[in-house]
Amino acid sequence: VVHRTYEIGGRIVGIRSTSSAFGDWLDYALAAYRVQAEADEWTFSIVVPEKRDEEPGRRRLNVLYWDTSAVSRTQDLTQLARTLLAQLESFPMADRDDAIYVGSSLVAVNGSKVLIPSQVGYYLHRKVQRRAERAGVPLPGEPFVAVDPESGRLLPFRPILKIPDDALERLGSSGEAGRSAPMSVREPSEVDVVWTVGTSIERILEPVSRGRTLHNLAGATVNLHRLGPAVLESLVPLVRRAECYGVISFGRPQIVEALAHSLGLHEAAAVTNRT
Amino acid sequence: VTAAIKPKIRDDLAAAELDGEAVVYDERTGELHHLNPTATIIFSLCDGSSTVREMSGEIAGAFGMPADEVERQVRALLRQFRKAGLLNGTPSTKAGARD
Repeated sequence: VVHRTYEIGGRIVGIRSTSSAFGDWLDYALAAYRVQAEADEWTFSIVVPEKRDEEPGRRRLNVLYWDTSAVSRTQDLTQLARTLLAQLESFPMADRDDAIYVGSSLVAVNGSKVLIPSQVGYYLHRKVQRRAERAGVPLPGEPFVAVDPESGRLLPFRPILKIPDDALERLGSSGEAGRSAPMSVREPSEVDVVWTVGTSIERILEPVSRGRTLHNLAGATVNLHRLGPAVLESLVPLVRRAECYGVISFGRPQIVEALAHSLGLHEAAAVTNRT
Repeated sequence: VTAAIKPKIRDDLAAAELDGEAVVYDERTGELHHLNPTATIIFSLCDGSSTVREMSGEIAGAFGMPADEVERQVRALLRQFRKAGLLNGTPSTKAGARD
């Protein structure tokens, strides 16, 4: 097991991995943040299965844990690394003032744009991810979105971590051919539908008021304390234009059907019903 | 809360209204509060110029409701506002004045 310690956004971050090759990649990708002190605790743990542990015809998954929670299970180490970098990018976010950063993910297809809580989209159980891929329901790319304080539109995310441009390429792509390209905001965008965390015990998805949605989005704003009260008025235009729903039961397969409906993919919703 | 008191929302609170519902941000505590339409009306009337009875009479007149019943609801909501620290002269707490 390799151990590394970094200081990112004023926070000491311990990362460990079962793979010395992944440790080498960390050395390259996060060189600007390496510190010699040893972390008191390991924020992230990356388990990379050894070739010799693999059963014939069945590849094992790489797993990224944040503390004890698995936030990514994938055969694609590049995808796992992308998730790790996105999480690290969130650490300095609380002090940024160039945009409103909300813990939501964008899912978009055919011009329809749905904002979903990052717990729903980004950390989907692997089986649910596969169900989404089979049904042609796109998966979110980042666990947060940037919102323009002036217009309330989503903005392309501007990373600030100093990561070499070719860092992800260095890992190559291992398997999972045909995997949906991660979605991210490429131009200033409005959203059609906003999901926030709901409270219903009967339904996965239920309509909620825009006021409730504004409250929930503000509550999911990473830099709310940095930007202060202006966040509320800035989020109003985003919510005012959108249909609003509360969502629960993130891990259930029906979430894919609900997402397909919100995206207007009624055929895909029917497919997920049958699978 | 007595009839002679003129409730006033803290000046340092920020609020945004959408479809008749308010979201209130208390920067001092970092708390967010979601107010349903009824609570939002009462919140907007708490400007320190009206007593509870006057406020209740105004609402009862506007909505054609019995003044006594309205006053009971207003008092109940004001208790929640006070508990959440939204009114002048009340300490902020973790409890929310929510629907």
